[in-house]
Parts: sequence; C-alpha cells; structure tokens
Amino acid sequence: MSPEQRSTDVISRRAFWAPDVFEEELAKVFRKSWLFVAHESEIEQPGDYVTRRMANEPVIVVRDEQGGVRVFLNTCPHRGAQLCRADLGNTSHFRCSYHGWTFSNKGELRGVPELRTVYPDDFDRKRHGLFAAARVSSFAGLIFATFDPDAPSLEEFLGDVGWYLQAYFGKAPLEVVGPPTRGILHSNWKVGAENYGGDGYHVTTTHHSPIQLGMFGNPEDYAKLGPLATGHSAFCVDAGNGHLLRIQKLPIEFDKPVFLGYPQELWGSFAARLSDEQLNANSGVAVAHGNVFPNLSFLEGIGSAEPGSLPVSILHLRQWQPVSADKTELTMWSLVPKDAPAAWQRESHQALIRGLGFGGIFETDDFENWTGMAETNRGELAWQRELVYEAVPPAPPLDTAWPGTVYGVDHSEVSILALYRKWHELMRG
Amino acid sequence: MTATDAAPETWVSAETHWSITKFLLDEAELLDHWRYGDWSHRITQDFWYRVPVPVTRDDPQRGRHAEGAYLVDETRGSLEYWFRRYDPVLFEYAWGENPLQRVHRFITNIRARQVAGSGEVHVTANLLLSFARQSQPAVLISAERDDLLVPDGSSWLLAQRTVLLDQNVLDMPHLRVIF
Repeated sequence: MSPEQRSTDVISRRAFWAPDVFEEELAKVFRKSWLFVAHESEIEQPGDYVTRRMANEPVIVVRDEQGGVRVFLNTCPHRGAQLCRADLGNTSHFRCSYHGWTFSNKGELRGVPELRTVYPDDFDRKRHGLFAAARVSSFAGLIFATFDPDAPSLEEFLGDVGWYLQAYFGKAPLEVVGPPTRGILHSNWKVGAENYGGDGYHVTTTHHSPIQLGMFGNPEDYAKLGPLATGHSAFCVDAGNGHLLRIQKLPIEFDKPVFLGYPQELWGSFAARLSDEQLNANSGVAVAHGNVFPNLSFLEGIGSAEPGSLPVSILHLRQWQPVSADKTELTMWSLVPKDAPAAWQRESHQALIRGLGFGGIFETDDFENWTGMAETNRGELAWQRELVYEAVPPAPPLDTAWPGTVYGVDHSEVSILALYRKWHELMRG
Repeated sequence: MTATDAAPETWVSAETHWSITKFLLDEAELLDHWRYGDWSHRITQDFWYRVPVPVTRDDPQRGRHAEGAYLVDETRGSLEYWFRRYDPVLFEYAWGENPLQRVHRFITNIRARQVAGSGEVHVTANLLLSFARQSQPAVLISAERDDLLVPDGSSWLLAQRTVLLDQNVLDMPHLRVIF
C-alpha cells in the first residue's frame, strides 16, 4: 500500500471513554438523529405500547386509535412523574399515578381531577399535552423517531442503507419473537456499533472457539453445495451518513437466488418483494450485518442450533442504548417471517440466542473484549495514545449496482472510518 | 404447572425431600466448580434448560416472564457446545470463560411436590447466584428455579429446568451459566 492511500484519520480514545464527550454526543448525535424505537409487530393493535429509551431518556411508543404511531417522553407534564410503568401493554389512555392527570394515546391532556376547583377558569388543557417526538416514521417495518424538528425525512436520513434494510427486513412480513432481551454492557455504545457495523477482522481471534467447534461451515461442506464462486464473496459497504454494512456470501455459484436457512416454500415470496440487485445482495448470504447510525445494529445469517443440526437463518436487531461513557443498555430482538412454520421459528430463535444472546457463545467472547476496553481506558494516560484505524483497502471500490461505496474486502476498517466521520461531523457542529 | 397450583398434601415425604436436597446440593457443587462433565451425568437424555425473558406488564393477570421468548434455551445436545469449550485444546480461546469466574449458587426454600400418577417430582427453589469476574465486585442475581426430577435408582436425574430471573435488565450479561 502506498503512503498516499493511507488513512489520515485519527481517533482519540477520549471519544469513547471521556464523560464530557459522552454528554456532548447525547446532545449532538442522539438528540439530532433518527433513532430506532420499535418493530411494527410489537405494537400492531390500536393502544399497543412499549416503553423504550431515546438518547438515554425513557419514551413511550404507542399506536393510537387511528393506527398512527406516537412517541412521547414517559413523563407527566404536571410534575414529571413516570407515566407508564410497564415494558409493554395496551391502553387508550395513560393516567399519571401522582395526581391523576390522564392523556389520550395521541398525547392530549384529557382528564384533570378537580379541574374546576383547583385550577383557574382559563386553565388550558391544550397547552399541557405529552412531550411528543418531532417526527415518527417507519421503514421496512422498523419504526424510528427523532426529537429534532429540523431533521431530514427518515428516507433521506437512511439514504443508501434503506436499500439494504429493505433487502433484509422487507423481504417478508416479520414478527418479533416476544419482548426484547435487555442487559447492561459495561462498555461504550460505539464499541458495539462499530463491531456490528463492519468488523470482520475480529472474528478469527475473538470467535476462534466457535470456529473450532464447527459452528461455521467448512470449505469441504461448501463444495458439496455447488461450484465455488470466482468473484468477490465478501464486501464492506460505506452506505453514507455513517451507516455501514459487511456482507459475506457463501463462496458458491448458485444458478438461482437462494435463501439458505429459510423454509424453501418462502423463497418465492421473498424474491417477489426484492429487486434483482437486492436479490443479488441477499441470495446465498452467510452473514450480513451492519449499523444504522448511530446505534441500531442488525444481522442476518445462518447459524447452527446444535451439533449436527442443519444451519437455520437468523434475523437480529440490537440497539446500543447509551447510559454513560462506559455503560450501555443492550436491547436485542429476534425476528422471524410471520408465515414460517412455528417449529422453524422456534429453531431460528434458538440458533440466534445460542450464538448472539446474552448466553451466546459469540456474545460472551465479544463482551470480554468490550468490557476489558472500558477497564483499561479509564484515564488520561491511556487517552494520550490514539487508536489504530489504518486498514483501508488497497483496491478502489467495486463498480456495482449495489448502492453506497462497496469494497470487495472482508477485513477492513474503511467502513468503520465512515461511521466516525459522520460522528465527527455532528460533534463538530 | 406452577408452584401455587400444587396442593400442600402433594409434598414429598421427609425422606424423599432429603434425597432431593442432596441431589440439588451435589449438582450445585459440580456447577460451582465448572465440572460440566460430571454434571452431564445428572441430566436426562431429553433434558432442556430455559430462561424466559422477564417482562413488566401492565396486566397483573399475565405472567412476569414472556412465553416462547428466551434468554437461554438449551437442550442436552446444544449444551455440548458449552461443555466442549472447556476442552484443554479450546479453552485457551474461550475468552468468555477464561479466566474462569468465581461463581456460587445459594439454594433455599426448596419445595418438592409429587407429580400425580408418576414417580416424578416437581421441585421449585429460590436461587441466589454470585458471579465474580476478575477484580470486579461480585454480581448477585436472584431467581426462582423450577425443575422436574425423575427417579434414577436411588437418586434422581434432572429432566427440565426453567429459571425465572428477577432482573429484567440484566447486569450480569454473561448468561452462559446453568443457574
């Protein structure tokens, strides 16, 4: 690699571990971005709600009586009491447990106990509705919201990553398997976001043990499936706006699109919902994962539920909710096609949590690294040394119909750098 | 079946209760010392182990744990992937377990009830697990354990284990443990 091709970007450890940077990024990154709040299938019926976080603040995500989705801060305008105390449920109204103010699921203040005797005649209920997100929008079943009134449309914010989200999450009507699992990761949210966004490089070392255990296929098995592919089978994608992906296809030539790991009777309906190029990005995928800026990661792949069992597809969403510089609430969803047989759905959920759940073999190894990073970056001595993100591909991007900037490499830091360029752009203000 | 469904008269005899207590304490000792090889002889061929997702609902009629969604869902077969991580050849790269955490299980409030029409026993117990990683303070996690034991000669085999965690945002995210 010639010196002029080298990355000149440097990333400070302070960006991850300094508490003042954390506070600043809540304001400049999280309160200015579209943030994922729920999957459509979690709140299908009018009145269905879930409680979540946006920029570390509790919110209610509710489907109103007309079928629209609303997002409110979970705090009563009167004294700031917690309005909704469950993780999920169904209600037409939220009643505050402190003084009994009641709000419709559209956020309007409806009931004020003793209104006529306690408050003056000109008390205006319209002024005291719930604090609503500026905008709420949905894409490929994924519901996002933002508190920034000047934010671009969700489609514009997603840009090229929307095409990929459509390919992975829009190929079938999906549903979540139960409520998400949640746990505290003692690390910075960006550590997870960059790893899920595009770190193929760590797999060989961090996940050495599942590889040795045979949880991935081996080349001899691939050869049985068909002739080995000649072109690129691994890609790092800078999808713009800080969004990124890594796609690894099975290194096999298939004579028609395949969704290995999904029930074969669904393949036709998947293909019908995708463009030819989306089909090309999704067919024969071993693993595709990415990060929607700033903190929504996703993964589609094939996993093995137990020794000797056939690989099954898994579809995963996870959100790195920032709590402090070295603390993240990780929320994880398992998704399955609604039309898949129940037994298949169960096996897919098992394969997912056995690999990527809080007890999963990949997760426990990843967490060791990420927790250790928080341990060893506590202060100014460590922060003096910049981190190393110099792995940029020697070859130019591919000429391909896939959107974004697509590199024909598997192990690279090029797309991760794009994530931090967007982060820096927002932090600079 | 839940513990409250069982009538008091279905409690096992004092002798059986002691036999079950010995089994549970012995099993916990093996797990505390990460002796999965020995522990695997105390489970049935069709053993399953599940930790359902805890959830806070607004409807008190519904359970405090999800149905059909799990944090951990393993069978005897899938646990092979856990056990083999401790093979000397693989352990060097078992980052999640190497160095081994210090773990202890505290089992109390053992309720052992006869399953009608069979020799099986439904055992519920309260569990506190302490989990200490490297130099960090131990994490304490509490749960109700719901087991099905089947007779095996003079002792028992564990056929099913469901663990109902109290925390719904885990601060012990390393859940690769048998509670």
